[in-house]
Amino acid sequence: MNLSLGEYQALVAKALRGVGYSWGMTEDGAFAIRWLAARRIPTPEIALRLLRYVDSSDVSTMASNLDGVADGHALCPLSIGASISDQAGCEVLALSPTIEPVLIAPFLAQTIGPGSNLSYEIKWNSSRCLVTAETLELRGELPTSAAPVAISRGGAQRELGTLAEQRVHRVEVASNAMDELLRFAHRVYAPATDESRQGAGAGLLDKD
Amino acid sequence: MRLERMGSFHQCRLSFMRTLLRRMKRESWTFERTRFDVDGNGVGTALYQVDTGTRKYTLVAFAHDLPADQRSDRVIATAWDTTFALHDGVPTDADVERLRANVPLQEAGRVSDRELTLSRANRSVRLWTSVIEALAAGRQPEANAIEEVGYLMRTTAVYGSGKFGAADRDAIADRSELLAPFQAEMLTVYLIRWFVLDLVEHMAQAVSPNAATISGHLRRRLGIGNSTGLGMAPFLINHPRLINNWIQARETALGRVRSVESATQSEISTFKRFVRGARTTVDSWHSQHPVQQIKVAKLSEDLDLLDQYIETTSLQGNRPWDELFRWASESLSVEGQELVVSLLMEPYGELVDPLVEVMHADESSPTRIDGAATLSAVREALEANYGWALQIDWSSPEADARAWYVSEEKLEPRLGERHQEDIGRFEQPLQPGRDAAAMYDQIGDWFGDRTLGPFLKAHPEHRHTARRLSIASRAPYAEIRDNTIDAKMMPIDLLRAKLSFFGATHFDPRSDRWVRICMFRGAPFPEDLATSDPDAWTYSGPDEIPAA
Repeated sequence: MNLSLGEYQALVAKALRGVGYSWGMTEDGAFAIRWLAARRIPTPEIALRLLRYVDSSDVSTMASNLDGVADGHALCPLSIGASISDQAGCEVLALSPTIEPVLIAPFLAQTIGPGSNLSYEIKWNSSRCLVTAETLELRGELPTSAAPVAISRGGAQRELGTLAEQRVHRVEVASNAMDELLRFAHRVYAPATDESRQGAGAGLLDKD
Repeated sequence: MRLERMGSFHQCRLSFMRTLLRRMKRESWTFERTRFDVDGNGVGTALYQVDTGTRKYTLVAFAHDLPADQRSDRVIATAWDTTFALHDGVPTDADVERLRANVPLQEAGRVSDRELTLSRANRSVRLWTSVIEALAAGRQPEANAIEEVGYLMRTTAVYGSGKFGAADRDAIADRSELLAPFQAEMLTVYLIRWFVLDLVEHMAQAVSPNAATISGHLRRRLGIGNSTGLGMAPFLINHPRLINNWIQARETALGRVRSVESATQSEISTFKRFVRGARTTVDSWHSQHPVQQIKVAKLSEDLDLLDQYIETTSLQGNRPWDELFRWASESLSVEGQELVVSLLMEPYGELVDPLVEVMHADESSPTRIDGAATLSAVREALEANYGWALQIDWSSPEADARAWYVSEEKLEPRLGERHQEDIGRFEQPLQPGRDAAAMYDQIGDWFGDRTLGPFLKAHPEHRHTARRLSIASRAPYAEIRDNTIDAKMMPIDLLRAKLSFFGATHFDPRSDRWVRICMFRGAPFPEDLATSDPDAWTYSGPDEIPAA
């Protein structure tokens, strides 16, 4: 299905909430996924891997310690990203195994701010991604399981010239991915009851 | 900003319908009905095209033959008399067929990034058939009935901003004609109004080839109705940066007018003319809701007082509007005070109208949270911005009587009774006051010299409140300073605030949670734009259309 980024972001927000993220993290996470989607990163797969992982563990046990202690669980990229954003960026950071590390990128971009020529590099396995305030370039493969991550500021500046600005306003979500996102999202809805319908709007028949 | 005041807002020069009409006139937009394939039963397709000079937009209208037993204003309805999409450009035949397969289904269909809005409307049962019968008999429709109802069709939703596959606001916000809020939605409704008049006359013509057409005066008195329920209410809480900009523009406009050192004779007479227009609007304001009936009656008395004031005061002294505003604040009901605020802007287009340019907001990324702020500073900020909420006894069942949630049935926001229904665990974050008080209490367990970052890591449940605090600390009107889950809270106050910014008139609440309004009632049609005042129409009554 071809979605506007706005409805995609809203759907992802519900799904994140559906697996237990706080409302504030939900806002940050849905924005991060929209930001990546606008830069052609295959976010439905990324979002679903995150959602499945969090759903099978417990969001409250997903450590977000920047010093990398994770009690046997992978680090959560949204919590890591939010922490970095809250402290206005970082110099270098070595993280113990983290799932979907590319999700940290939008938070880094947000701390750079428009007009700045700062950049970040996020490395995992033998891949990396370069992040500026507005752009992202992925070199290598997205990890499909948790991997140690290294983040450094400024390291990729000389390569900025190769970062192309190719934003899109739509996202294509395969029907099975859509169904799965909808299943997570559905958890935020209260079952309809007769009480819930009363008074929400006009009577069922309109003679006015 | 308190709910009681927001629930008394009136349209003004900054309202989005008026913004649109001023632009249409200023830029000499042209309009054309490019297709009207509708049969005698009112079933078919029509296209209404507008050319801004730099771009074209087209209303694609589908008219249906809806059995009376399926006609419902509820968002849970599945069929409508008419359905619409606003297409970005000139649709091809293939576009029209694509839309025909989707638009009549509304939420169950899909539109594309070539569409800006999706909408539907139902006939007014009270007026539709009688108007066709009158016209078919060669007569004009009953003027009193038109005054009573105010519209031939009522929209029950106008979706924009990427909903159901339409183009995102991000994708179109760089167009000057769509920069101000809700311009695509307002354009949709304006074109629907034109189509509806064409449709009713066409159906009368099908009954009798000698049917009359609706006279120019009566035509102007027909707007488009709108039913709005709880679905709209969370918007004002979910868009704090945008709402701040709306209210701030209004407050700035008022401040500018109050600062005018002396009024010219022409400005005074314009003000008086609009006061007379307001009288006719209030006289034609019918509501079935006891609360609104009392407010309208009081407003009528307020207008008597205002008449006396402007008769006995020269308005030629120093800062006359400031003096009038102060008098109104002490002498009139809140509804009357807010009407005066709107009226004061009328003579001062040059001071007020440019503020439209700052009423949008870039909401594309979440506001960053300053994790380095000390908790003692956060406490102080909470006290400064949510002091009102910290004084509420949140353990009282009345204080948190309600819960906002989304029902699985149409995925629409609802307001339930927390202590009577099992909805607490589905609660949406639409109670900033209670959440701010909860964060404040939690911070009490921490040392004040610690910072917000570690606190939020330990308590991510307060993260959305920390963000709101960050916004509210910089945007003075971002937060409604009232309890949005109180037992006595009236959701219609939220609806009224938003609809007044649209430019709606004739608010008629039907319960505490849904309201009927009228849009573009009195507005010039496309063919009249060139010779009409794009602002005066909002105050015109049945017997008076103020001259340009």
